Amino acid sequence: MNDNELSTMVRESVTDVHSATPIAQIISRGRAVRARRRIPALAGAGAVLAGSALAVTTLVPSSHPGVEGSRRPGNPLAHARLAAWTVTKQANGDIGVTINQLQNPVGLQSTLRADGVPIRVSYSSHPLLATRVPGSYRGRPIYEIPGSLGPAYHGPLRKDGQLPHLPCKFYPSTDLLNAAVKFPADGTSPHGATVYLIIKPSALPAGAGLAMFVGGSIDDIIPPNSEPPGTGGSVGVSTLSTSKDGHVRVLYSVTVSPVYASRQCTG
Amino acid sequence: MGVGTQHLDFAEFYRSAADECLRAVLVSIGDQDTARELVDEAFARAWASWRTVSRHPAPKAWVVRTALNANISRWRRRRLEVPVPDPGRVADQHAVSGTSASLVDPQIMAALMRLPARQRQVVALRLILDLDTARTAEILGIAPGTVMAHLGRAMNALRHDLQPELQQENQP
Repeated sequence: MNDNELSTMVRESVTDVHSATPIAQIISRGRAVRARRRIPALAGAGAVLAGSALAVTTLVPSSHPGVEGSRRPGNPLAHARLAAWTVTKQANGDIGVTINQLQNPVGLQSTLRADGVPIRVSYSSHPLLATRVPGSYRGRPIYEIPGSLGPAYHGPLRKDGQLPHLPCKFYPSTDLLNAAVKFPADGTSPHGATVYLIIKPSALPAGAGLAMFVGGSIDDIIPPNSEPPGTGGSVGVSTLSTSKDGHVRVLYSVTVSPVYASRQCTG
Repeated sequence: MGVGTQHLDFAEFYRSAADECLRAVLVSIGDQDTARELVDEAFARAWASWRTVSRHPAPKAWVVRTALNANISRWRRRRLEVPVPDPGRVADQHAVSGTSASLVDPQIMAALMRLPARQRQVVALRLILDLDTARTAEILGIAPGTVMAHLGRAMNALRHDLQPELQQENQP
């Protein structure tokens, strides 16, 4: 069998494969992609956090931000419990984070930093709507999140592969991510809350930290066709529910990436 | 370029290139459902950037490259999802239309999947998209000589893999 015959055989082996996706569906998806690119790129993480703080001011009851517990410095088992989220420091130094509502990321960031986690927390205050689309990915259903997702980033990365405007640089280690962040039981909280993860500060080497995005889809934070090879990837979990009109609402989406610790990024 | 013209151009491109791009991505990754998803997403991104993509010297290759990059990102992210009960409003159109059924020669696909990923990509671009060596090298970011070496090794491996099966088929 010569090269021409072999080439023909390979070509003919897939000639029965045809794309069945209507162009209208492609264009609809393309419109969503384009719309999201028009969203100003994070406008600086400081601006995002400032906006988040503003949202919290509006959303949280003015009498009290739902504090249910107290925090005692020096007590290794001290925990801060708020309505939006709970941070619990365990005896072995691990930190459990339960996220109940998309509120007060600044407080969550401050609490985690006080517990020794160099971390940046940012979030989208917009409710996320997703629609199930045909097909599956490795046995899992696929959801499309159209339109605006708030302050998530959708534009191109810088030439060095980093996100523009965000004062964080990705730390290129998937091993670090795997060691430092766990989503037990697929992220389902044993307490019935929505998202539960454990951070192991001891697994973070000097100079490394974490960036946590709450409420945004990871696919909307880093364009799939632009992710640089040097990142450590991301790990996350989304929880979804069905609304009356059949849409799927992304209740919470939490993703964590390893980054270099710096004053600008992780405090 | 007006919006109407832009849509018309893209529609023509999609009609002429969708099958070929899907086949190229399929040859690269081996899974039909995933290939469809990736190619659909890549075409959507092509539509969103049509002004740029339409001027690309090889728009089909742009789509395939974008789809393959998206596949890498999906793999890297290992994202978990915890859905509440199946929304069920949208029927699984793939199952209905039967597009998930195997439409490829399983022996040839199995032989392709035994090749290293880079060799499969070279086969997809050179044989399915019919790109020349220089363009393939540019798209994959490797030297033209490396493209030729990968293609040569891939062809030898495929020949070695498929020859006995062909001989068996031809035997009375």
